[in-house]
Amino acid sequence: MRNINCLLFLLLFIFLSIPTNICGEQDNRFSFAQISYDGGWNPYPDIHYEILSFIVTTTSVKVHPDKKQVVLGSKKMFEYPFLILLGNAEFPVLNPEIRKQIIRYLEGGGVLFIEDSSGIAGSSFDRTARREIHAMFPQDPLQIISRDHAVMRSFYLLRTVSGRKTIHNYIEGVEINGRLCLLYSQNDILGAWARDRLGNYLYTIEPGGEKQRKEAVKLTANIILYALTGTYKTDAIHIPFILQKLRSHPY
Amino acid sequence: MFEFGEFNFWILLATLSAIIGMGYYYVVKPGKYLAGLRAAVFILAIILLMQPVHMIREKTEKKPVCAVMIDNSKSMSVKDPVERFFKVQQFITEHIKSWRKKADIKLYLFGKTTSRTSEESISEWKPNGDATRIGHALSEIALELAGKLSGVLCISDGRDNGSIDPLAAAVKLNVPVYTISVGSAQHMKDILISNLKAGDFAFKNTPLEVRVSIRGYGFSGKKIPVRLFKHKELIAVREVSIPDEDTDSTVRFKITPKNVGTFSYRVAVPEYPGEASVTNNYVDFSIDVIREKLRVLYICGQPGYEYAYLREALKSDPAVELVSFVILRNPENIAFVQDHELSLIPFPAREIFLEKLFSFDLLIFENFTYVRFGIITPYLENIRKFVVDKGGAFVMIGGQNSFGSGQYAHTPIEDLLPVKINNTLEVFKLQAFQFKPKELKHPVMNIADTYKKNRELWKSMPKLVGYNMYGEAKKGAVVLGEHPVEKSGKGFLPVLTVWEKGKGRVLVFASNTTWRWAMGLASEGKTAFGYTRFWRNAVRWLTKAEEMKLVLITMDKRQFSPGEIMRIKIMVKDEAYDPLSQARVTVNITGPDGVPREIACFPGEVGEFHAEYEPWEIGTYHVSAEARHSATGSLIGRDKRKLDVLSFSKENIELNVNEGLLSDIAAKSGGAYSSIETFDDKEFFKSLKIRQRGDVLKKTLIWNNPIFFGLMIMLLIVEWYIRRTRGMP
Repeated sequence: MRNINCLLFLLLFIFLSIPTNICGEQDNRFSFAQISYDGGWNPYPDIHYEILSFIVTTTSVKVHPDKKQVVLGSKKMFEYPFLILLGNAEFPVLNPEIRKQIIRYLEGGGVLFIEDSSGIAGSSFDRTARREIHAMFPQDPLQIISRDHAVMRSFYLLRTVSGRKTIHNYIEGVEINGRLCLLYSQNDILGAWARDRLGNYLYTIEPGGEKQRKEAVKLTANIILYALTGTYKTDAIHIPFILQKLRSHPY
Repeated sequence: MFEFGEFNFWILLATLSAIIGMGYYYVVKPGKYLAGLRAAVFILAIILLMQPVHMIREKTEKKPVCAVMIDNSKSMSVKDPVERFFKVQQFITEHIKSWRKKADIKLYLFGKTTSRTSEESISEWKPNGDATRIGHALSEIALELAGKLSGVLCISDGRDNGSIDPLAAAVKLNVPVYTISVGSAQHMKDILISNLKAGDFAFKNTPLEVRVSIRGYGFSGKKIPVRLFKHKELIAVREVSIPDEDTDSTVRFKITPKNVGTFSYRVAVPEYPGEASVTNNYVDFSIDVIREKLRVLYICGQPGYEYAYLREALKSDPAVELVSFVILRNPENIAFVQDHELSLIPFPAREIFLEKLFSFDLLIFENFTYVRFGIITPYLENIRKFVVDKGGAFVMIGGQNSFGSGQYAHTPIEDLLPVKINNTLEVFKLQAFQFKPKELKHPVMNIADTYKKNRELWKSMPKLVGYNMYGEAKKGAVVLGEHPVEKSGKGFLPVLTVWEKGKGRVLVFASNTTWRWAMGLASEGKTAFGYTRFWRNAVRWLTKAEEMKLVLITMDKRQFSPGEIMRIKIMVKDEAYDPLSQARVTVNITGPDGVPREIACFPGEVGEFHAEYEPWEIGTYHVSAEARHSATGSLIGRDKRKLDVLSFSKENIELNVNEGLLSDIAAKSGGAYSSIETFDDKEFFKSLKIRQRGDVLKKTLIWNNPIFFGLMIMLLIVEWYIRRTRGMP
């Protein structure tokens, strides 16, 4: 009898620990949803803690605390309007069905952030990722995102683009119907967040050091805020304020 | 009864004699007496059934009745070189006495209306009629003098612009119409604006074209300036070359209004010496300038996917101008950079809620609580006034900071909401649910082309996640969709609810995850059109966009000339937006005098009603229509329109005498045409026939005379006697 009571108590404890949203469907809070695929999809398993903590501390965004893993091409992609895809090795050739799913996802309003975590110019990931992007959007190749794009000012006013490395001083993207829906970076922006088990940053930032890391942090926040606010910061009401700040502090 | 006079009496007698003669030949001579007697009775009965009456009338010495119509329209004020109307006054003064000796003269003045007059008031006659309606005048005279009229004398310049054909009216009179022209048949020197076309309204900052037609007589080849004024200020000049007579030159002006409102304009050409008329050298008109787009103010309490998707849907709507604010940072958030590195701007609460709010059409709050942003009660009261008094629209979308969770109970916002809220008891539940649509025929819910597709699409919509546990819907609210299992009050939680509040409309949605509909549709390879259409429907219904009105006034034009009939069509729909004929429609029109007049309204095709009005005063007219259910009398809706009657009149356009029309009227009616200088009244009076009969002096009702009845009885008795005496049946 006592054992049964203990078992029941344990079950009750487990039940109460389970989040109320037991079905797993996404509500309006931001989720760090990362694409998994057959390859090196998870170079930084724990960076979501840092990123989400930063977002919650510095912005009004409400977040899910856990990382969501989403299989590439699955219907679960459509649960998360913002998806992150990382890699540091050759990216697999996608079958037409998966490519179709990605296109549907982006046309349906989703935003996909793809990043080459290798930090190497012309890496195998870069080569193969570009191949896949081109296969999906032959008419709309990757374009350099201009400095006055909404993503560059969605929360912080960014004057430079960098990450753990500065392979390029820009990020690229694909637009559908005038909406930037796919962002691609070779600078390993998210790598700037990675820490070891003792809490020290895993990588030194080249060439700009900690100042550059700060810019990578800001760019990460901007990408997330862009996914949640769209072209908000290009509305007419913001322009005079933004221009005035940029003029008064050009660097 | 039939009447016969002396002449007819002899015909009747001759007929009876013929009957008697025939009777003798066919009846008496062959001995068929009995048949003859019976036939005589029947013939007598038939004659008496015709009720013959013998009338003896007075021999009359009355004069023929003659109508003299005098045109007193504005075109008769033209001087060529003497004023036409003055000539007519002189003509009448000279001849009226002699005419009255020959005929019973009835004098009429006609222009826009027809009225009796006399030569005693000749000095008060004025050429001020707004139209020349010869056909109308002939018809009215025919009615008034029916059976008595012997002839008509019509004195006019022939510039008819009425809607009744004067030729047909003249023929119908059945008496000769003699026409007398006054004025010159040659075109006088004149420059005029013959036509003007401007749009019904203009959009702010969008160019509008104004097309002006210019005509000239005696100015062929001359270049003249055409000026455009706005509120008496010259804003544009165009030069035009006058072509040959009876041909128009067109000039175009482009106006780009910078402000919303109604603005007065004038197009004018210069006045030249010797012009027959200068009143046709300008035209006044007004233009309503409206905002091109619906102005939507969207305030979101925190960034989220719902904001990103709804913002995109609103931005991509060509009918919407979106202004939005998202609270990107709360007071408790830490900034690890200096202010100049942030793209944030202060939230302009006072500017939005006190100063600029009324310039919007729709205000959206998504997951936004007023508590943390210095928004005080007067701001919320202003929002209430925005909806109730101004007719603005309000939407509240759910989240942890909405409804009671956002502390809106006991504020002016609570009064606006169609659901009951509670600050302390309300929670936001993070659970998935299947939205259960209810009123699929409501315009907000119509997201597919057919009812069947609409139903199927709603069925296939993905689940929503998260909802505010507020109370039940208030009385008068319409629940468009509910939670399938969550209870609230007596029914299920009203997830999507709408209602009319004062002059405005309000919509509430308990969940802030409608973006899942868009993504869910995309996952099945469908476009997000259903999601986009839902929100576009909501915006249009809330702001009472034209296509969503239950009562709509439509007109084929907005600018009229004096006397031009305004044809007004009113479309009525029921709450399901089906055309509705069981409605009582009242139409009122208020002219420049400010007096509202109700005009008759008639049903047409299903859901359509028609009214007509003939305006004469120049200026702006306001047409309003109200529809109520026939059975219950409850209000369906209202609509109103503004129309202009422009200052140019048909009286100003053609000024030369229309000899052709006047001679045709005379020819078709058996009269004759001449000018006022050459008219000879002898022939006119010779042609007049007295149409009137003398008064009745004696009237004998033959059919009522007992002698004839007695004769019938006698014939029957005779027949009976003969049969009796001869032993016949």
